[in-house]
Amino acid sequence: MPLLSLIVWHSAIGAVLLMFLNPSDEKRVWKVGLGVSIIGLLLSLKLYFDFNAFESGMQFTEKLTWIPLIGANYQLAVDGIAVALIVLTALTTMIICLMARHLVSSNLRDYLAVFLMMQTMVMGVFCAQDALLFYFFWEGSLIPMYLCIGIWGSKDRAFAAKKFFIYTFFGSTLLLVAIAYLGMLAGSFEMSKLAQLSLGFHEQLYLFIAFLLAFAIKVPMFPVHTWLPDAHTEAPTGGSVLLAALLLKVGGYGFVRFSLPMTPDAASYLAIPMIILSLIAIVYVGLIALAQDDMKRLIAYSSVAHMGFVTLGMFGIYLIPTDMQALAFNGAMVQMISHAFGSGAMFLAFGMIYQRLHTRLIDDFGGLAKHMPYLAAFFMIFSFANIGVPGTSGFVGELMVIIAFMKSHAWISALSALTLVVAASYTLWMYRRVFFGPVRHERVSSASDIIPLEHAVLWIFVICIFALGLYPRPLTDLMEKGSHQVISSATITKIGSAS
Amino acid sequence: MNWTLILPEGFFIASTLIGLGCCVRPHLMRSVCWWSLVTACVLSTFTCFGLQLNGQFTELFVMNGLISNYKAFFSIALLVILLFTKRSWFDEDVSDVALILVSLSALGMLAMLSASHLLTIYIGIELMSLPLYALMAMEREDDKSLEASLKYFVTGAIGSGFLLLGFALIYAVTGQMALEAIGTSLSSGTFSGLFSMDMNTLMTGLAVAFIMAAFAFKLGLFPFHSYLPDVYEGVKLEVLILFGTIVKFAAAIAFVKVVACLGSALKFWQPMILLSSLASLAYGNLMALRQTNLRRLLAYSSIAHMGFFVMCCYGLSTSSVESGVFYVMIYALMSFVALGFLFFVQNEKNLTVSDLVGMGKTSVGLASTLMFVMFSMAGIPPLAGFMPKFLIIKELATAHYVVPAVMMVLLTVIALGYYLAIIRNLFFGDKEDASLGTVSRSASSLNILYTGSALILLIGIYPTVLLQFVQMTRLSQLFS
Repeated sequence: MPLLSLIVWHSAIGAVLLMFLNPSDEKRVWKVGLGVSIIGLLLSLKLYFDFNAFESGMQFTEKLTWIPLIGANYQLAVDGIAVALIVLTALTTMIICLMARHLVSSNLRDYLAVFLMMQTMVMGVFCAQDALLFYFFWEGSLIPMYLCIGIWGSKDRAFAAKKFFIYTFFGSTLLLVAIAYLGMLAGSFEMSKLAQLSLGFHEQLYLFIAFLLAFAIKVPMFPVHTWLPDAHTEAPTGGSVLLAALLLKVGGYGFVRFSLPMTPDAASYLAIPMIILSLIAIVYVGLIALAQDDMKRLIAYSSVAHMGFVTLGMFGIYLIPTDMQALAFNGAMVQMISHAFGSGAMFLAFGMIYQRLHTRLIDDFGGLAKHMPYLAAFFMIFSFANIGVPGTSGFVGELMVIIAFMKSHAWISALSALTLVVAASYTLWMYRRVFFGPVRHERVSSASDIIPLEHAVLWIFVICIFALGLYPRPLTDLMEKGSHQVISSATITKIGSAS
Repeated sequence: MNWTLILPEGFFIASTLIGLGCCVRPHLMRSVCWWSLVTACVLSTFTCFGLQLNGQFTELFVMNGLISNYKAFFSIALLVILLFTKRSWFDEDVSDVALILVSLSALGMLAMLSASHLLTIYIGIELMSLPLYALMAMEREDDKSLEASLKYFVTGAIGSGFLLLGFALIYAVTGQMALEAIGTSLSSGTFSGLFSMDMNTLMTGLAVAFIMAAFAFKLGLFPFHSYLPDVYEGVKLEVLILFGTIVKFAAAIAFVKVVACLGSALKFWQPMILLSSLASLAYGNLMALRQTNLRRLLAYSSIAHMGFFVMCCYGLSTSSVESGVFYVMIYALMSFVALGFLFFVQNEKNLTVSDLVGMGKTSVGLASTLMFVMFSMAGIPPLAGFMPKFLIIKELATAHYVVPAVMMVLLTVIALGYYLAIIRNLFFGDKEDASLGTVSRSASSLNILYTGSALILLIGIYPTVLLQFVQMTRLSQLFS
């Protein structure tokens, strides 16, 4: 059974099926959409249990000719990193579909279809082993996200959607040329072959910059992060959750699949600037988050800061001793997964507040804990995860990266550890202003606490946060072989080696 | 002489003659013309697919597997357009002879596809253009229609003058008129002896410049594009659909043919192609940003698309020509669907981008169709517009022209500005009542439009079938 193809395409088929349903029959539409996403989750769990984490190399390989004229194949395969991200994708989509009927007031059918299409594209990115196929899914994810922000977003949605689209499209144009160039050299677009090409230093440098532009915008890294706060702020709740939990990971995954294995020498040469940009993201963008008066914007900036750890860990492997490389890289991967739970959960919980109060400004709240005590409790847990309090998922990845640098570059560790202070200040200060203190506004007192469905969904996040925080071993075991593979191909020189 | 080789043309000649013969019975004329033209398209499609036509019909005319495929595509496209616009040809305000003109023009385009001689190309272009001038002026009461026709006529005349001059210079240098003979003469350096050796090079360069200018007129490339927006704005929609799809296709094939036959003079072609392409991309995309009229916007977007297409000849090879032909085929499809959208809209000549606001709520089907085309034209996968762009970029990379490729992709980012603006107006508006009225057309027209947009998605996901359709073994297959 072509499990990966099923995982990629089942949701697209589901989206097409949805379009045949009567949009006014919301209950039925919701059931079908949720059913498709649950099938996705079951399929991805099957993948997780069938996947052999102790075997290195790609598994579940599927290969069909796609465009023989240029040597592009429809080739899917996964390693441990991809499996973790696939399960995350299925889980996130399931949660979004579960909440959809509650959160969306219009066009429920189209809303579900858009998210199922997005799942196909994101799954495709994580499974693709052919560079052209990767690009195909990578760019394809722009269309549903653009429609999602533009149709269901808040007031400035058209502007935010356009900014998102043009930013990411601009970044990926050079990726396209880079793929074409590598494909020309290798005679095929197979990613493992592209990674074996021997390339001159300047060649690698240009390719690295082309990759960097695409992936850095998506992650996003400082200074090309400015689209994210707008997109997050204007997107509907489901869109924000998906953006934070998945689309940012797609950028990090791009680094893992392209920049590190294909242009290792350039990556090593530019490691210091990349690390400095990551540190700026961690510290400076964290400080920017402190100054926000819009809650969604604050969470968005904190996303940028947390993703800084991902790039820090990835490029850190070029600075630190070999025995620490695995720790740094695995830390970056764990951070990718845990950020999805921390940030995604905060966006979802905030969506529940927004649905009741219709404002995003922190000053409009105050004393919310009196009227929504359960939500306040959940939000407290998510805030702790966001800060990186020990025991929550946010702590593990950050700690791994910080420790990895400790021995050789203590200053990087010290600077990045500042995040604990900065994140604590903006998150807790925000929390205090929103949930504690006197009730200042009329509408806050009219807010009702969360309903059982919301309880259930938030519990999923809480369980994931604590499971990852207390016992991250299954996750690191799952990704270990994959990470090892990436590190070993990222640290050998490709200049002058026989192709 | 193997007369079966010109069967496809024969059908169109027959349909023209039948139409002319009916002039004595005007009340029969329209339906006879329409049916004979449709029959000609069907028969020509079957001939191209069914019979293995291979060989040379005199020096002027060639037929082989590749050209059969081009002709089959052309005939199917014409057939689809005729079926799509069927009702309009029977309107009172459409001239009786309109379909005869279409038939003649199609004959000219088919001749261009089969040309193996400079004269056939020239005659084909003229035979294609002259009926078009008349067709464009069909709405005699409408100033804009007349203006469009006149502008197209004047620029077309200048263009064909340039073309003739270029051909004359080629003849003077090589002493040959047949495309293959010109190719061998230029590559082996056996010239007519009319000029000295230095002069030969100079004259070849000049000829290339004139020919490039002529085709820039026909394709609508910067700096010879100026008539195009007015033509798009003014002419009757049925004519515009012909003009924006199959005319572009035929002209593009003729262009590729001439470049391939003058391939030894590539060093003269390259700077002109590069300059014209980048300027078209920049100018077309930037000007389209400022357009309010949807037709003018599509005209400028066409300039940008043609600018992308000509780069297939920059590093000339079989695979680059394949990708170029693939590009125009896809462009013809997208252009058909985009212009076909206008067919269902009231007062479409003055349709502005802001008129589209709220359409996503009132007529979802049409709005989604336009959205599909706009994403496809912007080159976003998984839609059809992506793959031809990628193929051309890949061909440039293969020939180690990375810098032009980078400049081209960066210039296409500008295009997002107006494509996204259209989609935004369609779907993101708050307005509940759309100001835009739709015209009810026959169900078959609507189905053709929806099939077109479905094809955009299907070809986007699996382009291999169409790519194999344009595959060629050697460059000279285009003209011998």
